[in-house]
Amino acid sequence: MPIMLTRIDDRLIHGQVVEGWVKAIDVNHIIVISDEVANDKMQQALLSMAVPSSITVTVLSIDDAARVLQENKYAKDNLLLLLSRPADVVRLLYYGVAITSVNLGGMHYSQGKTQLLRNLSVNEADVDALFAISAKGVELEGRILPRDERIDVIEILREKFNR
Amino acid sequence: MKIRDFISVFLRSFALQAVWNFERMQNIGFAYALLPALTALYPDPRKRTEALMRHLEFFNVHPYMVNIILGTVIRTEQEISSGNTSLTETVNNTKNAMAGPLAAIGDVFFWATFRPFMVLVAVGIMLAVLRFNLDRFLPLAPLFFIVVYNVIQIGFRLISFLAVYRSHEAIVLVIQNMKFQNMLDRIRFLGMATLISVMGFYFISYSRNMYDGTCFLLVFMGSIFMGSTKLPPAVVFYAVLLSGVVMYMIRGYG
Amino acid sequence: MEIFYLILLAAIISIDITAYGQFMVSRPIFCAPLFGWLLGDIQTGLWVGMLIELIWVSVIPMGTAVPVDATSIAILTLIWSLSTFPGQKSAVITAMVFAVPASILFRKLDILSRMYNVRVAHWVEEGVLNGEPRRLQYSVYLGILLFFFKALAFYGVLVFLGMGVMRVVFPQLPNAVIAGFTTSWRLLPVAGFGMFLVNFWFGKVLGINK
Repeated sequence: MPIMLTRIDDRLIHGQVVEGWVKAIDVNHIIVISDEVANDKMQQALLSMAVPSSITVTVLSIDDAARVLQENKYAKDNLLLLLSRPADVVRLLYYGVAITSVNLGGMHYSQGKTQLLRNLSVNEADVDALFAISAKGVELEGRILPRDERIDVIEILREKFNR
Repeated sequence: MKIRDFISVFLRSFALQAVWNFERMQNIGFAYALLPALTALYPDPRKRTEALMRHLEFFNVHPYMVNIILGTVIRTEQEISSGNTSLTETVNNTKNAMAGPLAAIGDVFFWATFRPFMVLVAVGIMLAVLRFNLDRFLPLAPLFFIVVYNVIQIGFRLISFLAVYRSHEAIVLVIQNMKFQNMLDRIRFLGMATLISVMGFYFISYSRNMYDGTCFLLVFMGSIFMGSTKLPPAVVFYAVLLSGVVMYMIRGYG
Repeated sequence: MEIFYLILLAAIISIDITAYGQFMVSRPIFCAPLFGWLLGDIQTGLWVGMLIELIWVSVIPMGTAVPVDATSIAILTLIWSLSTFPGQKSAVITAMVFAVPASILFRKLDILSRMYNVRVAHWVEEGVLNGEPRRLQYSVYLGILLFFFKALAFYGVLVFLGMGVMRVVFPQLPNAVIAGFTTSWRLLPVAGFGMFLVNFWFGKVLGINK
């Protein structure tokens, strides 16, 4: 079950993901890990329509995803794990799922957030979760596309929030 | 709402990216396009402001797909304006749930598949015109591209706008019926077939001898190799220039 | 003077890239022959348009990822070469050598405009909250004008800069380079076909992981 990429993106599947990442890193199976989407049939239908026919999309709640990943159920697929927020990644890690690097592809602006990078806006809860992820030894890099430079997000957070 | 309002929304949708900003992306353009509809649905300025503020949140979608979302939102706002205020929360959730996948479909279908395919066809026409010295037809390729491409673009925007607004089915089914992934596969296949034809024509027309032919093959394979790596196209460009100089120096021709 | 009209046209066409419509008039496949024709050599315009479209076929805008600007590569290449050394393929290629890095500047200006627009967006939001939805349309006009003036400034400066550079550099190029560039004229479309193939292929190409 090679996990080719674990990505945090609150828009989940969109242009950059399909056209920019999936092709470039040779992924054939996207696992959307989100409690909300796991309960939303409409979103599930929309997400599966958004990808070419050669790619499979599976939507799982965080608990189910942790179990499935531990069981190594998709051993033969090149996986892209898509999560919508850092707090969800923290939960996955808590279950013991082996993730070494997380790509911060998109955390978009909404009222009350601070915008740090073009593709990264955070609030208190996000910052806490991101530090929690880093504390487990997981790399947090902020590439928008695969060819971009791997920005060290923790550095930026430390500078901005004096932690 | 009158026809005039729909036309206004439709025309304004072309300015979706006029105030593209890094914080909320196409939010201004979307609200701008939606305004005629909101003005018609909410005569009370305070309700109108409320509705507008709802739609100034973060938003990003492929520009040709925005009419699908506009149609959906107008329908939802019609319900809200006639009293169903429980939908004020969900209108943005639906909007955002649709925007991501539509952006994916749009980027892959229009930008990455349809446009390159049309470009390739135009290139083929252009090469034929050049090769057969049909000087009067020189403008044909670019004009063909612009006309056909825009008939399809504008046609799609209009048809999807109307289809989504008029349909009584769930939006998801409407989008499903547009069968993008099918069309995508077919255009990809056509694109490959066109590429082979255009390449063959080019090789026959512009390669004068064995040395030329070999150079072409080497450059072709080299570009495939380089294109498959992470190198940017500019590097491929400069590499070809370098090869050009080298190939000249080996054989002394131009 | 003709050059000023060309600069104006370049700025107007650049509106199509992001600000309005995306009718693809800004794409090299259309604007290159257009500029070629206006400069007296439509065939060169057609060829340059083909080259750029094919080699940069994989470059597309995706959300916050602002792409390389193919329009400026096309327009600068044509204006620079056809107004200084018309009729020489090697001059066109030389111009392109400089146009490719110049487009990086265009992209940077584009990103700056998008950052500035955040302020415009805040201004609009404030207006709407205070019952002035007309700020929406004002901002749209402003936005289009901003993209226009950014392009106007860019082309205004770079067109003359590049023409100067061409006049100095091109005559000094060694014969091997000039002849090599003339050879590249026919090789570049081939590389373009290769790039197109890579972009359109379904899965792995030649077993190489992308």
